[in-house]
Amino acid sequence: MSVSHSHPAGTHAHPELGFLRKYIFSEDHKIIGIQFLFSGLIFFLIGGTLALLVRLQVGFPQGTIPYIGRWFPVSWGERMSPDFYAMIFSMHATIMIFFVIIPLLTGAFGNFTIPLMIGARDMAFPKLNMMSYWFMWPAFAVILSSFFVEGGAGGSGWTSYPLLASATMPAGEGFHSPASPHSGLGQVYWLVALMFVGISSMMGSINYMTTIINLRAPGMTMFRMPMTVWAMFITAILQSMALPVLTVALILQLLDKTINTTFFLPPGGMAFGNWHTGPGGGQTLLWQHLFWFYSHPAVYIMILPAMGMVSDIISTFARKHLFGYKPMVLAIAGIAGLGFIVWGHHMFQSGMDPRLGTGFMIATIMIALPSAVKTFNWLGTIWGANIQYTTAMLNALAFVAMFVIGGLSGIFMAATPVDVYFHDTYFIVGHIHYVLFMSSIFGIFGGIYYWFPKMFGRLMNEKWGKVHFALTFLFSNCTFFPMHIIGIAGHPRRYYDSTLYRFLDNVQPLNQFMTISAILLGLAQIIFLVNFFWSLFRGAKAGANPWHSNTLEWTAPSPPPHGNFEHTPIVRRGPYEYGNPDIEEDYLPQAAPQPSGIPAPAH
Amino acid sequence: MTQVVYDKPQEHMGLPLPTPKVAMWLFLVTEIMFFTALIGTYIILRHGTPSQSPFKWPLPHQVHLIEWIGALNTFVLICSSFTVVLAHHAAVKGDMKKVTMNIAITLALGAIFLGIKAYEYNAKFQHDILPGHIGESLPYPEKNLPSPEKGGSDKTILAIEREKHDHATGMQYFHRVLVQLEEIKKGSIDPELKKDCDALYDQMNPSGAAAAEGKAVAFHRPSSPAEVGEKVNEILEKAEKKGVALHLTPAIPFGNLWASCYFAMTGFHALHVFGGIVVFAIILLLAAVGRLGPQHATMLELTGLYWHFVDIVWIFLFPLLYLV
Amino acid sequence: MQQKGWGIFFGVVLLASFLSVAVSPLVGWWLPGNVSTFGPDVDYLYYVILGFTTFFFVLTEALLVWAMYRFAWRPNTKSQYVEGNHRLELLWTIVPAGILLYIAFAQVPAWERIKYYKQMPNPDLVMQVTARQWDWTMRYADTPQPENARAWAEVPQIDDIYLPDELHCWKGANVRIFLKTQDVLHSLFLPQLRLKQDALPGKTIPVWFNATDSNTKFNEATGKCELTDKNKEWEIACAELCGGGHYRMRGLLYVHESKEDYLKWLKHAQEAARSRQPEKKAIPVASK
Ligand code: HEA
Ligand code: HEA
Ligand code: CUA
Ligand SMILES: [Cu+2]
Repeated sequence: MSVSHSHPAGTHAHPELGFLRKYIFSEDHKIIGIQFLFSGLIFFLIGGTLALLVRLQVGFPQGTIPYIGRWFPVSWGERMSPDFYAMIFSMHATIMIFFVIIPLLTGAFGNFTIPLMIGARDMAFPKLNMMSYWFMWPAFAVILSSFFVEGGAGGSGWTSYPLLASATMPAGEGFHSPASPHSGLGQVYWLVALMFVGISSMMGSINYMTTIINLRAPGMTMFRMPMTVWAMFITAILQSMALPVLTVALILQLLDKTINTTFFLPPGGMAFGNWHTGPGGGQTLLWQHLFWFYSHPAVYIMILPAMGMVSDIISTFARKHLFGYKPMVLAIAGIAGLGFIVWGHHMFQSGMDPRLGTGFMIATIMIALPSAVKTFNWLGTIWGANIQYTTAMLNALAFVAMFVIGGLSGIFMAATPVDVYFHDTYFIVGHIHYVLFMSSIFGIFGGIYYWFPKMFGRLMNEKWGKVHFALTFLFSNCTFFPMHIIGIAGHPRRYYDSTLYRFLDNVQPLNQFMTISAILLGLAQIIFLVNFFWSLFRGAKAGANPWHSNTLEWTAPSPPPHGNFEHTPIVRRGPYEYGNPDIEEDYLPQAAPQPSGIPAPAH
Repeated sequence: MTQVVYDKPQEHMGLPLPTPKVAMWLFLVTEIMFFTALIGTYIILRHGTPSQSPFKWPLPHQVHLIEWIGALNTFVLICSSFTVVLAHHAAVKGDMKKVTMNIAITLALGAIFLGIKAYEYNAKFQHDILPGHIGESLPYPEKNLPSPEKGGSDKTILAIEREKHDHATGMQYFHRVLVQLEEIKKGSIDPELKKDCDALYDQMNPSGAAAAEGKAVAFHRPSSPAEVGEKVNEILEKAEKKGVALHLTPAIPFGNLWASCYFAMTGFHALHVFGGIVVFAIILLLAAVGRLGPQHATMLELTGLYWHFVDIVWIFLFPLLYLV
Repeated sequence: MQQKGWGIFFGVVLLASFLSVAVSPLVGWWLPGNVSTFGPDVDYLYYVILGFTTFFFVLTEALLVWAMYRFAWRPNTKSQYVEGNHRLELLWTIVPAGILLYIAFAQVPAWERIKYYKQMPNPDLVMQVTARQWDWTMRYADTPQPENARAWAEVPQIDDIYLPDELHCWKGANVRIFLKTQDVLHSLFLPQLRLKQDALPGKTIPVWFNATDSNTKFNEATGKCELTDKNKEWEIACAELCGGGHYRMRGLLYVHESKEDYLKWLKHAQEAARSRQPEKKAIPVASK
């Protein structure tokens, strides 16, 4: 554990650092957060562009793709090959999950908000923090270069189930796979890249937990922490306990591919056409257990921080005390706890003992309970409020509206008999995107519009922000809602061309409709890009506290200097003192001195 | 690793522990999860293998595991854990000479541990007990055999099927042994063993030996991988008795899976031991340049924590791999 | 007004998605017609969940939209000052809890009926399906009920019949399929039968179904099976990613009217198989 020497006790002034130390190899949590933010957004473009390719293929499976068709080799008939298709949706998902959502939520916002919101000068271990960002770079390099290795990047879905992903020729014959061209070197790169992401996240999570446990400003008791910090804290716990298991899974598959261990290869081995693998002896299902033991908690890693941020944003712009603070905290804890015992719901049809399925189902369905608590508390918060429709608020409200849809669709698949039909259909793809795109991403957008002034000292353009929001909200619904419907019709996921099937004939128009909306959705994001960079340089200057918000970060100047606070703030109350009738303004910051007339809060 | 410095009130909010210590405990949590996953994998895989002989999990002697060596290694690690504690105590008292000595001993013990491990690994390589190498032919579990009243026809078909099956899975093994036998032919070893080896070799490629002298030979069916495996094991038995080291890959049911688990688990544990050794080396370096002082007490304590963890992991691995 | 507009905007979009579900059955964007005995259980549970979720969807979204409209920004007013309400918290914890528990336990019987090995009915017709990249190999015994079916599933017999991508059975038969794979994961998906099961490398997984409707008649003249109704083309799909050809592992389900009709076809198929090269589709032998 490396520990910062850069700011000894007491001193608040920091020596001016050179450009390199200040912006590139920075140990300042704010800069690191912003670094995560930029890399995340860049990968969002890549992942999104891949998504549009996916949509083009699904929407127009027959014939050459208009315009971009000519980019594909003539040998493929100027259209993407099935293998290429497998590659792009796998990389789309991998990039969106491991290089966009997780870095943005925990990396960018976790880093930026935690120390500011608990009144600390920086993370507990700034050097470790810096490393956690720089460990992402090998991952970036590997995942991007994997597109150009022989056979292309990994193409076994973001879940990379063996044996499709793991089957390899015996050692010494290079990384060719009898199963699929992508399962060669590309898959090895995939494994390595994810390992780096994992190490990075693990460093981050340890740092966050330590910081939140030990570096809170005086008066900042656990139950005075803003929801964002609570969410980040519990997310960090999830990561620190789930990630090592994923790391093991990745290592085992890597060994299977490189030195012919047989963890996932069943006894007797398997025959690929006329070629036969080695003896084997392991269990294929083991991967799914290890993978989902991480990846189900991971889906909550991808939603909880957004939930936290949304809670703060909603309370701020509703100008109203968050409804049921403690239940909200308990709900997050409950989701996290239950999240560890439901991984089997991805394996109902996998050949796992059906009796296990029953247990996993019951646990899974009960997760709706804490989620219900959260949903209704958000509604309670805006009830009787005085809502300011800033762009941040709109995105936060969209999060609530969309999470309900995504969550409710989860119940169908959680029900084992219904999942018999829905497993691996587009119904799930719809679910994925309602919770990941239209919840997590809306949460992220909200967070960006909300903290942008604190990050860069300027406000984002509200008018264009709202245009971007309206279009995104509209087109994302057009893109993803029909997925449920074609899922109900039985459309399997990961299909290169569904027109071979009679029973899918009549949903093809929906596919085309979704493709067109997806392209519009993509183009709508350009507005965001332009707005973001324009505001970066031309945006209206923001004061310390543009939103009249209560939490500590708004007592620091924007952008805050290295070391954040002039002098460590003394916290006197919870973060949600909005609309208090006993005082003049409709807000009362956590660190503001106690106004005369009203008694100091007990907790 | 130095103490972080922070204003008193902040410390007041958190736990009554120095921040690095909190972090170290959290780090150990991730480490525990890591090895839990590894060990869990091992237990699940092993549990999944049939329990009835002859296809049950390999016995230690089959895979050349020597219990007492493992036990010795356990002892070595426990001692090293003890010396770390002494080092920390000395550091608290400020007796830096004693610290240096104890750390040196710990480092030495760690090195010995790795040395012994290296020796064990070497044995595995000698006998070619490596993942993907070992010969396996796994017949269908008995309960699936057709009922006798169905007549002989099934048996014959079963035989054919089994042949195909072994052929497919065993072919790589077959060729590996063939190559090894050629090697042995070249070398000069105990004549009796050599005879057996040559016999097996001719068995495996009928035309081979005779054809070399251009003689015509009555073609006989080359032995199946399963047969080869049995023969090889016999030869190895003999060699063992004579104390001759033959480089022949044995045939052990689930041997490959065993090797996979063994190398994965002990390998990653060894990596952690190595990590500890590096830290100790750094400490000694500090001592050498005389920069080691009482201010390093916490750091020594944390290193100790880590080292105990590595120790405990081994205390789980040893019985799991060597005894049960 | 610009403030209240957002509530309306949300309302419109959400209403549109709600309506799209409501109308889609009318245009045939819905569950394909069910033809299996346990299908109704699945569909019923589906509609139960649909009911509850629709209720909560309407409830939550309506509250949200209304609040957005009603409580939009009004200058120089303050929001209510409430920190929470224990009664409400209890209410919206206990009520959903009850519903969720009901939903959860309502699933159990159907799940047991469909997937529990112990509860599968004794088969009238046994077959063994092997998936591989990228087709299905259906293996039929010379008789619908080979004794010691489990053993038969493991050990191919001389007089077995191998058919690519064609699953034959008859109406009302308890069919038992022993599902295997030769290479990677696959998943046997029969939409009309509400049946899906992954094929797991190294494992043999029993699956069962019982078709309540027939779509095939065997025509001795042509020696072909003809669909009795053009719209009753029931397809088999692969529902687990298995490489480039995943999307084209298409098979067909032939449900004969009667056992007799099935046996007629079986007989014919046997002759055809005899005339064909034996071992045609047997597990290939390594050549390395
Ligand atoms: C942010 C990510 C995220 C989140 C939050 C969730 C949340 C949930 N998910 Fe989701 N899930 C994914 C991401 C996520 N999921 C992904 C990526 C996959 C696909 C993986 C792959 O590629 O295969 C997946 C797949 C997936 C499956 C596997 C489907 C299959 O492969 O067969 C299942 C099955 O149980 C499931 C269930 C659930 C449930 C029950 C919830 C619950 O947490 C939802 C709870 C919320 C609510 C229920 C709504 C609010 C509550 C109320 C309004 C109260 C009233 C409601 C009732 C009384 C019902 N999900
Ligand atoms: C955070 C997660 C996330 C996000 C944000 C998205 C975003 C999108 N996804 Fe993704 N998706 C997944 C996670 C995600 N997806 C996962 C986990 C799977 C499962 C994969 C598997 O089966 O293994 C999946 C699978 C998946 C499929 C199913 C593939 C299949 O099963 O065959 C489809 C098909 O339509 C799809 C489409 C889209 C679209 C259109 C978007 C759009 O929202 C994207 C819109 C955004 C952009 C376009 C970026 C912004 C672009 C610009 C600002 C520049 C403009 C660029 C151009 C106009 C070129 N996704
Ligand atoms: Cu076979 Cu997908
Ligand atoms: Cu899940």
